[in-house]
This record gives sequence, structure tokens and C-alpha cells, in this order.
Amino acid sequence: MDNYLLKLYITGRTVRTERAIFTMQRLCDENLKDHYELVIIDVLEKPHLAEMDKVLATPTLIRELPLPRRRIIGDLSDTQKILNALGLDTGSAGESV
Amino acid sequence: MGDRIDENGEGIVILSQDGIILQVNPVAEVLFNRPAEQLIGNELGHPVMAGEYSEIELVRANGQTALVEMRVEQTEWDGHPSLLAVLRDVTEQRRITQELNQAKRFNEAIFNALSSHIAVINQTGEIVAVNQAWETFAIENGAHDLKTVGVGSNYFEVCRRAARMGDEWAARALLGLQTVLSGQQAVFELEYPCHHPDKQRWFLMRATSFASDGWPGLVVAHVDITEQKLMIRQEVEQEIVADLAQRRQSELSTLETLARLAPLGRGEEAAVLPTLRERMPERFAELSAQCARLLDLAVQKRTFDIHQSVSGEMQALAEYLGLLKVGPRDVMEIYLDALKSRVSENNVKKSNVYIEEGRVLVLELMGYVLAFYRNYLPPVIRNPIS
Repeated sequence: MDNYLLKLYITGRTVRTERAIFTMQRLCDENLKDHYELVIIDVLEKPHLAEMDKVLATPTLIRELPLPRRRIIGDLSDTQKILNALGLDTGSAGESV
Repeated sequence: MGDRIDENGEGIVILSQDGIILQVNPVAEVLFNRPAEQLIGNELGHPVMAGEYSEIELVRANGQTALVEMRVEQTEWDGHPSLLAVLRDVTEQRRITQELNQAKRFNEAIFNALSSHIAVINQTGEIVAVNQAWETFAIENGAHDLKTVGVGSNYFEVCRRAARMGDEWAARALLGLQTVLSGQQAVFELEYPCHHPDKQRWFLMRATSFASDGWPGLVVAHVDITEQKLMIRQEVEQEIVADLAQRRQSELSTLETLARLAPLGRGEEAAVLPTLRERMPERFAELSAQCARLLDLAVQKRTFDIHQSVSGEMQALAEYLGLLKVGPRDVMEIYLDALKSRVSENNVKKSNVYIEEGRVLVLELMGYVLAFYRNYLPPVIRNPIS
């Protein structure tokens, strides 16, 4: 299995952001086991990182690795749709979203 | 499509299937706080929605954020399948909702922090709000279903039902609540007992009128006043006990005076004869103990409502005393000695019971002694008490 590097951009700590973090951590634990790194970035604390990644909205999930780069936005509460968007539902990671 | 983008009051963003911004309308420029040229060509991201709407926060160029509700539809742009994201600013709406929720939670926290059991009822008697203390009290006191005493139930009906079953306090409460509701009085207060199998309890019910959004109602608070009640009762009991103690002391002093004044026998003999205590101290002690036992029986008889007469034993004691040629002073001394022994062994309340029973007993004993002298002694020493 490929190693995944995921960045989750959030804004502050609210119920909405906590739910997004929880969903992503559970999704990664269940589907990627030890083959992932999930980095949580708060745009209020690290605006320069958001600027470098040209983040226009939160929550934004960026799949940095494996290539190609993928970016999804939304409330991130639907696990299946996130898996589809990340190309994990068919085991064909790396395919186009 | 171009017309829709320019004229729509909501923010419109056209996205490619992989989330690249293809076009924006002016409202979207305002929402992002960025001109179209800074947005078009950048990657917003592929929208992943759980339902029809999704809430996201836009990261604006000025460093601030805007909360928007996003709706996504399939569309076509320049002949290619695309996504139409409609953005509606809900920042202010959410801020107001959040503030209202905070104010509501704050009020609820205060309402629930109050130890009084509080219910708000409308003009028909329906309970429209209760605090935590009200519900807890109801559950602890056997309400298996809060529907019967909680929100939605009718408080007037609860009082009526209890009144029909003979609860006079419920009848008085109902009347009082209705007088406040009709404006006849501003406040109604009622102290009532609400005893539990394990302990006695009293409550104070206080009803005040209340108006909200044009409808009249009542705030009914029940405060547990058991502690205050018990404190007052304790103070009253202490006063009674102090009074009894004073009366006991007074009674004993009077008896001592009487014993000193009572003649020993008749005429000159009285002046010279020593008392029984002086003549026969051991016998005196035995007779005092016997008299004390009779006192015990009399008190037991009263306390436990025993219908057993002590007259027989008293007659025997009187006969024995008569044979020893005792006078009234001796009888008083024996009785006083017996009474003192019991008073010293018991608390104030019980001591007073001994004193009360003793009054009857000593008179009865004196009567039996007198009867003995009249009936059995030769004429020469008859009527020693006269």
C-alpha cells in the first residue's frame, strides 16, 4: 500500500472542525492503518501555510501523496464520498477524482 | 449561464470536475474578498457533500473568514460538464443563532442551578417549563413518568385531583394560584407539609404572576423549608423544656416546704417525736424505694396506657406505714425522697411526668394511711393527722 500524506485545513476549533478531524482520523485508521500521515492545520494559527497552499475554504483536505495531488472541500462527514474522492474505495489510489 | 452569474444575489462559483475555479460572480468576489482574477484558475477543491447543503468557511484575503452554506449542482460550462457551487453567507445568521443559544443555555443554567423546584405555567394551568430541581424532586418522590408532573401536564388538574382525594393543601394551593392568575393578589404563599416515609418535610409554595409574549402565566416555586421548621420547633421545645425544668424545681421546693410544715402527729407529740427518717433510716430508705417503684408503675401505666391498678400495692404500703405510726410529714418525706431519686435519673420531660403522676399518687397514699388509722388503730391514737 502507498504511503499517504494528507493535510486537513480547518478554521479554529468548533464542533464542525472537531467532527471533520474525528471523521478523517477514523477513516485513516480504518482504511490506511500505518500507511498515512494526517496533518491538521488551523488557518487561524498558520495563515502562511494556507496562503502557500492557496486554501480558499475550510475544511479542505489535500492529498499530497501519493501523486497526483487531490483537493476536496465540504463538511467531510460522508466517509464513503471521501474514500471515493481519495480513490480508496477500489484500491486504485492515484486515479483521478 | 453568464447572465445568472452576474445577476444572482448569491455567490456563484463554476468549478471543473476536479475543483478548479472556472468563473465567479461579483457576490462570490465579495464573499472571498478577492477579485475574480485571483480566483479563476485556482483550485477550490472537489466538493464532497453529505447532504444537499454543506457549511464551509471561506478564507478571505483580509485574513478573516466567512461562513457560507454551499449547494452544488451539475452544470455545463463552455461545453464541458462542470459544477455550479452556490454560496450563501450565513455568518451573521449563525452568529445570532449562536448568541441566542448561548443566552438560552445561560438562562437554563441559572434556572437549573436554583435549588427551589420551579415550574412556569400558563393561564390554563399547563406546565410550560420546569427546572432540573423540579424534575429531580418528582422522580425521587415516585413520579414514574414526568408526563404527569412535567412539561405538558396540567398543574391545576394535578391540584384538583389531589383535592378530590381529600388533600386540603392542594385545594388551598389551587385557590391561591387562581387568585394570582386573576390578578386579585400579586403573590400567593402557602406553607404545607409533605412528609416522606423516612422523614418529615415542609415546603413553602410561592406563586407570582408572569407575563411572556402577551400571555399571562405563573411562576410556581416550591422551597424546602424543613430545616427552618425544625429549627423553630427545636427552639419551641427548648422553651417548653426550660419551662418544665422551672416548674419541676418549683414543685420540689414546695414539697420540701410542705414536708417541713406537715405535723408529725397530733398535739404535743408532734413537737417531740423524731421523724421516721431519724428514727429508722434504713426502713425509711426501703419505704422510699418502694414508693419510687410505685411511681415507676404509675408512669408506665400512663406512658403505655396500661390498665393495671397500683391501688393494691399502695394500700399495702399505707398499711405498713400506718403500723409504723407515720405522720403526714413522714409520708411527704418518703414521697419527696422517692420523687427526687427519679427526677435525678431522668430528663426534664420524663421528670415532669413523674411529678404529675406523683401528685395523684401522694394524695392517694395519704388517703389510704388516713383510712388505715380510722379503721384499724385503737381510739387512743386514731386521727393522728387531724
